[in-house]
This record gives sequence, structure tokens and C-alpha cells, in this order.
Amino acid sequence: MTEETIKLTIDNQEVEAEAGQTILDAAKTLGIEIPTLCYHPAVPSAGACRICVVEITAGARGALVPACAYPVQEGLGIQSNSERVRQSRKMTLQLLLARSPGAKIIREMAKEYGCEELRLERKDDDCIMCGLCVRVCQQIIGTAAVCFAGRGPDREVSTPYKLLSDVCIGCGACAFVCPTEAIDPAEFCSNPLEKIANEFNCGLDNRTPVHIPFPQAVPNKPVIDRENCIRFQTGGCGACQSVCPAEAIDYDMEDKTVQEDVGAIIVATGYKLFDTEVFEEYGYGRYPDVVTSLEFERMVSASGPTDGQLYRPSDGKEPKTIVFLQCIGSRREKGGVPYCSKICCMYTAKHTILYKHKVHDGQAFVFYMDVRSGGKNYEQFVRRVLTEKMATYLRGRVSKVFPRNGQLVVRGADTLSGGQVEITADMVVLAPAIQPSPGVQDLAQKLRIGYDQHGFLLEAHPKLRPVETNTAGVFLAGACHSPQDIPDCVAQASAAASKALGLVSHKQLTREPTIGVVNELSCNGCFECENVCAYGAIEHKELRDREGDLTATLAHINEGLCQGCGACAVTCRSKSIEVQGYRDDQMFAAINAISR
Amino acid sequence: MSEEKQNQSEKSQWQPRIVAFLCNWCSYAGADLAGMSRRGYPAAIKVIRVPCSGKVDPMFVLKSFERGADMVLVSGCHPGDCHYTSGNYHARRKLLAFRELLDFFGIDQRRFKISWVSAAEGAKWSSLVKEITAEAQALGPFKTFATMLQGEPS
Repeated sequence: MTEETIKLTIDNQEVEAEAGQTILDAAKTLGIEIPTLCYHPAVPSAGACRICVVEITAGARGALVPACAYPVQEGLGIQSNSERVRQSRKMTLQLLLARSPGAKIIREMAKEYGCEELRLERKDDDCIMCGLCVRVCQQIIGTAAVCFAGRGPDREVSTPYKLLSDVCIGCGACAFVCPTEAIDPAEFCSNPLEKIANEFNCGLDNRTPVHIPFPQAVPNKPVIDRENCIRFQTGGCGACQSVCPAEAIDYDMEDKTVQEDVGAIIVATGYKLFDTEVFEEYGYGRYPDVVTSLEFERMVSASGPTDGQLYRPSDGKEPKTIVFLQCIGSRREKGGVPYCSKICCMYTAKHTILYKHKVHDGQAFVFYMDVRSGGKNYEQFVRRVLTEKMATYLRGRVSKVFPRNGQLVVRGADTLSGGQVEITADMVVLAPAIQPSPGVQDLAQKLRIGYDQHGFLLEAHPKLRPVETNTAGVFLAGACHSPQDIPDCVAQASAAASKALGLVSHKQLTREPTIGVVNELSCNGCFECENVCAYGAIEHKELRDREGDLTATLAHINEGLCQGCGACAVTCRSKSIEVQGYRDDQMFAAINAISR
Repeated sequence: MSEEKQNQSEKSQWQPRIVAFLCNWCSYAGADLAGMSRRGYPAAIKVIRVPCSGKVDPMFVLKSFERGADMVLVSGCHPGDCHYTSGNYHARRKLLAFRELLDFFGIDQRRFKISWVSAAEGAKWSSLVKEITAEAQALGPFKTFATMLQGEPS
């Protein structure tokens, strides 16, 4: 396109626009607001709703024209908010209001223009016949599942023959652009989209296929969930690409395997929560008002699915009585995990405070085994919960949670008073045990690091080398090592980072001297050792005489690759490989000394 | 005290000598953990550390018996968990084949043990040592090589 600029004036302000732009585009560069309904930047304009009319006062025949569709012309003079314009918009709004009194945006606009009083007979159809949905479906999605049908007063937006549409791909672009929220593809689509649970909010709300994974995501950019994206599933839609002003969406991008040479690896694979559904006595999964502590955390979060309002999942009421159950799966030899999950005592105490902040007249109960508040200021925190009556703590286990009259009855033991207690609660929050992330064992085997019977990764030494592993250059941080709270994780991550930097900041790498050495006088070059070396450390060394002729090919051990396991030394038939520090004469000396 | 009774008490006081080859990463660390967590186990076991169970040459085992061991144990990482990826697999194939040959040497196969103890299994190490010490005690002293050395028929 040639760089042709056109000068015009809007509301007595001069503006330059490119040829092909509309008056609306030019007004936008000046920051002048022109109301629109049927306009969408991604869709070619139709000028259907007539709400964006402006008055031409110079340069062309004086007239009211739709700003969204009228191209800019040299020397044009525009008034965007003259009396004539306002009168015209008022009339349009009166007609729209008569047709669609239920549409929120129409009512708001009518209020703004002072024409809510209606002299016309009201109809009740939210659709204002602007046709934006029809244009989106035809021109952006390329499906044409909805179109105008009928004539005159019977004209309406519909599917062909008003039947359930199998052409509609259920993308919802029509509903997205509709200014009056009048269209819902679920009503006419024979294959409507399933709602996608928002993983970050524990499935408490839904998300779209294009989404930012969570508010603090790095990088904080949307991703496309291919499994649920219509573009990837049916080849249609493509709406996001057409509206993205940065043209950042590329459907042809593929996942890539990236190979990097690194000097250190830090494993920080985190944790997962124990599946509380296996404990049927607590009713998680059966009763909607039994939630896990992570779900509760999302519910009371200001950026959560309810914007920080605490509602019961079953009926949306405010829970006046809430019961927290600690150690769900933790410290349970049979059916659970034997270890303490460490963080649940503190976050449950925090949850009781959060609950009190949300529901001032509410009552919280906590069933606990022991309150383990080891850590700086932790005991004072729990003490505050107890003394300020944030919660009533009951020492004992819960045997059963069951519904009664729309509430949940929590039956358990109070071992301090020595009796059974029954609490009628609105909501029950379970604190599940912490387990290593699934698949961490596979990773550990690939990295050649150890893990315990629960799947937590093993440090090189519990006291002296807590973030290192037995494999040089691999470090641990966070809950992959053991259940940890945030201060512990941060401390361990900082330690692991320092250790990794310490390793790679030197010019030379220090290695253990206990590696294999080949005796070249006796090696006959059979390369049996090559078969057993897991590191590819055995190299072929060519011996040549003075004339440069090859006399022998012998084994040679690469000092950088050899880890000193000694498999080659045992395999060698001519006993030509010895591991330094574990030479045969040294081993026999040890055996002699010890067996006598 | 009658002679018979004295013999019996001597026999019960007799401590076998068990030579154990432990891999550095799992079994040695497991034995270390048993000590660190104050788990007791019989002192009859004498530990020689090797980098990997795959480093245990059958000659080491024979040498131990020759020098007077009553039982030999080789212990490494659990199959699949070798620090060196595959050393314990090599050890397993080699030593199980070697165990079949012990009869040929005049050594009771029960005197040669192979086990897998991980670095987290201090308790398993302690119970394993108790178990094999009791077994070695039941088998009694290993005399074949000693009598051969003295030139007497076994």
C-alpha cells in the first residue's frame, strides 16, 4: 500500500490518516470516543446499527454517515457529537430499546443519552440484528453456521431451516462478539464445546482454550490448549489469530526438543497432594462441601474463582461453621503415608484466620493429631489463632462425615475431653498429605540419583550435604526432597543455586582421583570393557611405530567421563584395568587384614 | 561345668567372621544410616567398601574364604537404582553364575550371600546382618580351606 496520508478534521482537531481507514479509526487516534455496537476491529464493518453516526460538515455533502464504515477523505470536516448526531443516536436508541429492553448495553447507552423514557411498544428480543455474529461466523471462522433468515418483521439470526447445526463448530466467537449477549451457540450447535476446568483454580471455575496458565506465570503470556482448541481439533475458527494485534499467534508452531550442554542440574519437581477420595469416611468427591485445603485456598484468594468471596460450593451460601481436618493421609501407616507432611498445621492455622476475616461471625473447628509449629514465630502464630478465638482446636481423629439437612455432620473423637463430638458444619476442609510429583522416579533414574520408598529424592548426606546428590552436579531444591514450607524451599533453592554456581565458576573441574587406568603393557585390545562401561569412557588408542604404522589398538579411559565404578576392571580378562584407590593389591590387603 | 556344657557355651560364644563388600552409594550408605540412626547389628560383619557391586571380582570372594571368612556378603543398590546405571546388573549376572561354581571349590553355597540394600534402608541392613549372622552361626566355622592348608584330608 502506498504511504498516502489524508488530512481531515474531527471536532475541529486536525488528524492524519492512511487511505482506506475509516472515520472511526481516525477518531481513535485522536482519542475521540464514538459509541459502537455492531463494530468489531477484527470484522469488516457493516454500518448496521447506526449508533456510530457522525455529521459531515465540510469537504463533502453534509450528511449523517456511519463512522465505522465511511472512509476518510481529504479535507473532510467531521462533528462526532453535534446536536444533529445526538438526535439521530437518540432515535436509534429508542428503536433499539423498544426492540431489546433487556439488553444491558442498550439500557446504559439510553441512560447516557437521556432517552430511557419509551414511547414505543416494547418487544423482548435481545438481538438487535446488527449481524456481527453472522459476519464473524462467515468471514473470520469461515463456517457460516448462522445467517439472517426471514424478511421484514420476521427477519432474525438463525441457522439454516432453524435446525440444530452440525456445521457449527461451537467456537463461541459469535457469543464473544455479540454486543447484547443475545446469542449462545449451545442452543443451536449439535456439537457444543465442553467446559474446560481451570486447573489452577482446582477446577472450581472454567477457562477458555487460550489462557494464561496462572496469574504469576513466567512468562505471563497466554497459551493455546491444543486438546480443547477448535482450530487444532477441527481446523476451523482461528478467531484469536485474526484479533491479535501483535500477530503473535502461529498455529504451525510445534513442540521442540531442546538440547543444552549444562554444568549443573537443579531438580525442583515439587509435590502433589494425596488423593483424598480414597478415604471414603470424609466424603470428599461425594459431598460438594467437603473440599481440600488447596481448593479452600483458591476460594478465599482475591484472584480466585469467587474473587475472594467464600461460598459453599453446593448452594453458594456463606459457611457459618467450618471444620478443618488435619493429617488426611499423613502419619498413617496403613493406606496413607507414614511421614508428617509438615506444612499442614501452619496453613490450617492461616486458613482459620482467613476464614475469620471473610466470615466475621463464623466458627471454625480444627481436628488435629499434634500441632507441629516448629519454626520462627510459628508457635506465636498458632497461639494467636487459639487466644483470639479464631478456631476451636480439638485433639483427635474424625471417624465420619455425613450429610444431614443440607449440612455436614462431622463425628470425631476429642481425646482431651475423652468423649465423642459431633459438629454440624456448613463446610469441611481436608488437609491432604504431600507426596512427590508423579514421574519423579523416572527422572531420578535418568539423572542417576537415589530416592526413598516414598519417592522423595535422596540427598548425599542428611546433615552435611543436604542439597547435593550422590551424582556430581545434580542438586535438589524444594518438596522433591521432602515436604517443605516456603522458607525452607527458598533456603534450599538458594543453597542449591550457590552450589551450582560454585561448580561452574571455576576454570577447571575438580574430579575424584578414583578412576580407571589401563595398563598398556598387558592390554590386548579385546574391548570387553567397552561393553560394560555405562559412560562411554573407553576410547580406542592407536599405538604406532616410528614409521607411523599401526601396531596395536588399546583401550584408553577418558578421565573426564570415567566415574570409577570399576565394572571394566572386573570384566578385563588380562587384568589390565585397575581403579585407582581400589587396585587389586589394595583390595587383597584389605581382605587379608579383615578375614584373619 | 561338664565338658559337654562347656563345648556348648563355647559354640554359642563363637562369632562367625563375615566379610561384606558394600557398594559405596547404596549399601555402604545404608549401613552408615543404620549406624547414624543407632540401629544395632552384630559385630561379626566386616565391611569392605567398593565403588560398585560390579567392582566385586569373584577372586575377592575366594580370597576372603581362603583367609578365613565364614561367610561372604556382596550388597549393592536395588536393580534399576545403580549409581553407575548398570553395575549391579553386571554383578548379579556374574556373581550368580559364580555361586554355582562354589560347590566345585568345596564351599557351601549358603556361605555366599548377595543382597540389595538402598541408602535409605538402614533398618533393612540391620535386620539383614542379624539374619545372616544367625545363619553363619548355625552353619558353624568354615574349615575346608584351613584343613586343606594343613595338609589333612577334608
